[in-house]
Amino acid sequence: MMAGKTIRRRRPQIAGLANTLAEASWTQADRALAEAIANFSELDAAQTPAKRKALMALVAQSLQRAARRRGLERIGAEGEIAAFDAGRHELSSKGPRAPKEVRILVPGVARGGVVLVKARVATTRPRARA
Amino acid sequence: MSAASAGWTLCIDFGTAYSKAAAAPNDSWARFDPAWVRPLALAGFEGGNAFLLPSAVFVADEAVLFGAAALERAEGLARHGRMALRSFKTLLSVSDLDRALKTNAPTAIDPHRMFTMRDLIVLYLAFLSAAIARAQAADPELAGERFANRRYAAPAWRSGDSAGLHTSIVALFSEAEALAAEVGERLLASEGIEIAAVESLLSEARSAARPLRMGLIFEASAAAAYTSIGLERSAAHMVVVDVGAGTTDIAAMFRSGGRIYELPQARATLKQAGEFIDRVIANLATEASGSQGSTQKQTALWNLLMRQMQDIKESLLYDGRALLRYGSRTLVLKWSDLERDRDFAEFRRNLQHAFDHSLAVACRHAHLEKRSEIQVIAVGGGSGAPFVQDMLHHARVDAKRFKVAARPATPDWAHAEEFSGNLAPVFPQLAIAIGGAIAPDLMLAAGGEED
Repeated sequence: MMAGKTIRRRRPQIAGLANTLAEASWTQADRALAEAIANFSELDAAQTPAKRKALMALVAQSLQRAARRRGLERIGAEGEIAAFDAGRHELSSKGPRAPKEVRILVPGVARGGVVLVKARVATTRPRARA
Repeated sequence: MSAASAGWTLCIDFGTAYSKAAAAPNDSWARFDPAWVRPLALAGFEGGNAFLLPSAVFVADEAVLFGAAALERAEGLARHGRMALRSFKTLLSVSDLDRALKTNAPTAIDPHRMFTMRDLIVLYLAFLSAAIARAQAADPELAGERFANRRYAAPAWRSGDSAGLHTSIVALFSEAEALAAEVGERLLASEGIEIAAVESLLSEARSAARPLRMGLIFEASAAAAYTSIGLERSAAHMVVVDVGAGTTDIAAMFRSGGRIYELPQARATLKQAGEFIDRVIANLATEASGSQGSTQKQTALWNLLMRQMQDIKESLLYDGRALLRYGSRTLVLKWSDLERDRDFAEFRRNLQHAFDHSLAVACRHAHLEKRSEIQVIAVGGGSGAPFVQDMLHHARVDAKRFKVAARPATPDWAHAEEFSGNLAPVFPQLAIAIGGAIAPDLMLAAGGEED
């Protein structure tokens, strides 16, 4: 049914809905964060390097889950070559001019199109001519 | 006057684990604006994920409990062999629905032997109806509005005749509405409804039920709707891979003049899906634990695995490995272990084969229609898994004749600025309800205007 003519005179009220959506994703992320903190708390008492390594891996796993559930995404992958974008990339050493291409050293993090941490990048070496 | 004066469409997604609902203005398909999409906070605002209402009914000694309260009570009494009724979706898609509804619930579910499956489903739908009314009242855009169009989403192929079951299902909704009108918000109370009152309430609801106009939208059509909305020039052909809990379903759709048709020859259902992968992972973890101990120890490990399976599976699929604390040990499961597993490898082969078949059918139809582009999309709990996405991105077609575009599991519009990045993380869980709400009536499988 396509009843009547629609008149959308104003923007809808969306702040409350966006907050409830945020709460929903936080609910899913909170448990993972709690696990990360619980495992992190055990680190000091860990007796062996193997135990510490396992705990750190568990902390990392929980942080990855929390990040996914909040919609955080990585910017680039380590070693990837990308066109330089000053909004998304932080050059590890600055030259006189912005490079065209860069290599990702450490991926950045974004959420919903907003860059939270820029990717650390290095200028690629010019290709040798054949 | 409402901002969306054309009225609103409500779509209910009756999921295996959770029910979800969303509303959108009736003319969303023609004039799409993401800001008007309203997922409903069915579970209320007392913490937890407000959009997911557990699909559960528990018959206790003194009352019938619903949702989270039902699950909590069932968990406490599991060791006494008691359980909640959860498999509504499976039940509603059996071919002989009327007969299935008349059967009594097993004693583990109803020790009083008072209720048929129909009774319990009507009670749950009444609870769902009360939850919708509460969520509607709490939404400033929906409060006081009328849902001119109401729909529910269902899989298209499990029984072979989902549209044929439509009349029976609408009758259930109709009784549930009558019951909800009588009982109101009491249905949402954690104490549930007194057993002594339930029989007469059900009987009154049967008498008070009025004809209800309700549409059925196939889940694949809902997926097609949210994927292609706003993309007027997107391809008319689409293959939808739905990796659900119990089955993996593949369908090919063809859009023409605002209507979506299914290509029945492309339909494929695999019995291997989310729960199958859970079992494979649990077996791998049991092996990794070297658990040769007592049956009690093995049961404890199995229960631990089942409780944490969603987390384990998520890490294994997305990060390539999952770590699990088991007593004083940390078990490590790797994606490569899963890949080597014979049962999982067979599932992937079957999935690939079914996808190739559906895609080939879509290509043949596209060729007849003088079209060359096919969209492919995965939906359901396993939709984002890298092995599923890889399959979509490396679709095997004659590249000279056809172009395959893999659509993201979460559409670009779900990242719209208005949602401040908050819709996308939960979109996969709400996708079918949202797709069903924004789809035009022409996409309905039954119960539309032209019925």
